[in-house]
Amino acid sequence: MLHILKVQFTPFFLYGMYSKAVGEVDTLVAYEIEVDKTTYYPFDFGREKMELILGPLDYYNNHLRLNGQDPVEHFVLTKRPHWNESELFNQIGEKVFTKSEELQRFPLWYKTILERSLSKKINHLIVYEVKYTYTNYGLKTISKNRLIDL
Amino acid sequence: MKQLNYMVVQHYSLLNKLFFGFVICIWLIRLYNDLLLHQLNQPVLPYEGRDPFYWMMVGLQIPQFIVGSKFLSLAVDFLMLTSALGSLFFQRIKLFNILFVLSYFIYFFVSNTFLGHHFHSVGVLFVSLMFLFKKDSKRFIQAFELIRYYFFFMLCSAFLWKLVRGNLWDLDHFSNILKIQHVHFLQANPSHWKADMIVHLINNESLSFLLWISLMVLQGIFFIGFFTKKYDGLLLLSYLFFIVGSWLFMSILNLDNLSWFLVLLPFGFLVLSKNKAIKKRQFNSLIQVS
Repeated sequence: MLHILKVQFTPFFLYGMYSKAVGEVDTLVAYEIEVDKTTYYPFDFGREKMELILGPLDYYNNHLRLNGQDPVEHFVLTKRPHWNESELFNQIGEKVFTKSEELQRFPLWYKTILERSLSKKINHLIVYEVKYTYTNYGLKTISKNRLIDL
Repeated sequence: MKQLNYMVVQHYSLLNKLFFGFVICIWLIRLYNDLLLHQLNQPVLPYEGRDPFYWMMVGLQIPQFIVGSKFLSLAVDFLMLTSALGSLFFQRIKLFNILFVLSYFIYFFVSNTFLGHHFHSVGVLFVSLMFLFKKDSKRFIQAFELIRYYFFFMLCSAFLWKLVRGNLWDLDHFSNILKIQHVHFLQANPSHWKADMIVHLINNESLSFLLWISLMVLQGIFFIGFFTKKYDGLLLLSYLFFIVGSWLFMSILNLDNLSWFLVLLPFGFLVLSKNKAIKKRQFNSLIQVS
């Protein structure tokens, strides 16, 4: 039933498993983490730990791309613009969607996670969003944008 | 079918040991990788996604409340381990199983809330449900069957989604997925042998398309499971190929989902070989009589 309605309700999911059409991929986004002038890539932390290093950072970056708006709120309002005037939706949104203070606290939390993962105190942390394009022999950097500087 | 169910019940203890032994290993791996709730250091950015369940939980501040308290998050992690140990060593005390299902479910949705992505790996969660019932109860077999069917439904539904979404006609589909999937790997290890393999697959769209079709077939094969248990050995092999393929070509190795192997142990095969042995014995005794 949930499949027909295309709704997921934990623990019952839609098991599309990468079936959704992707289309031509022009730009690929990845991250570079500079800790006291040493560069790390998320994959350097290992497959399991990468969940913790990459997932929250990517989610944080999705907010920044939308000038702080919650990506899910953005998605819902793109599909149903008239919900913006709905009092019920706004009330739910206040409880559910990301608040600006949560976004502000993220860089500091991320630093503590990295300190724990690297088992050392970090004096200077810079996180870059790196955009790549794919060439026939691998990745080619297009741009590098500073996300966190602490 | 009755004989087969008898076989499953006979192996209850083995299933229990395999499952909870494996769960304890997962717990230790998560501990090593700082992925337990008390190690998340009171995260600040909850991800509600497009799932009403998470909207409810985040709205009620439940995950925030759990990780916000060092004591509470440690208690959930500790309960998960001790209840798994209890279930492993005291199979008759079902309280341990109940506590495990509860604590694991809390762990599952709270960690998913703060990892910025909702993982769909429900293997441990679903397989653990069958151990809520006693070995000699009818409900154990019913739960085993239900979980088995849900697992088949999962894979068959993935196969059908691929068909409906026209993956069969999209030659670049897997090549494009590989680009997105491996960007972090290629960034960190550009000269690794696996990077060469990935780049080769991305550039060779026909080969990657063939691989994608093979992956689809491996999922589609699970339709057999709805009708018979005779080929569970074959399904187990298909799932093994599926897991190895996902790891090799997609860098996906979801530990939780390895527990689905438990519902595929070839009990059907065991019954068949037992039947064969019985028939052989009867045949031999007939020869001796004549």
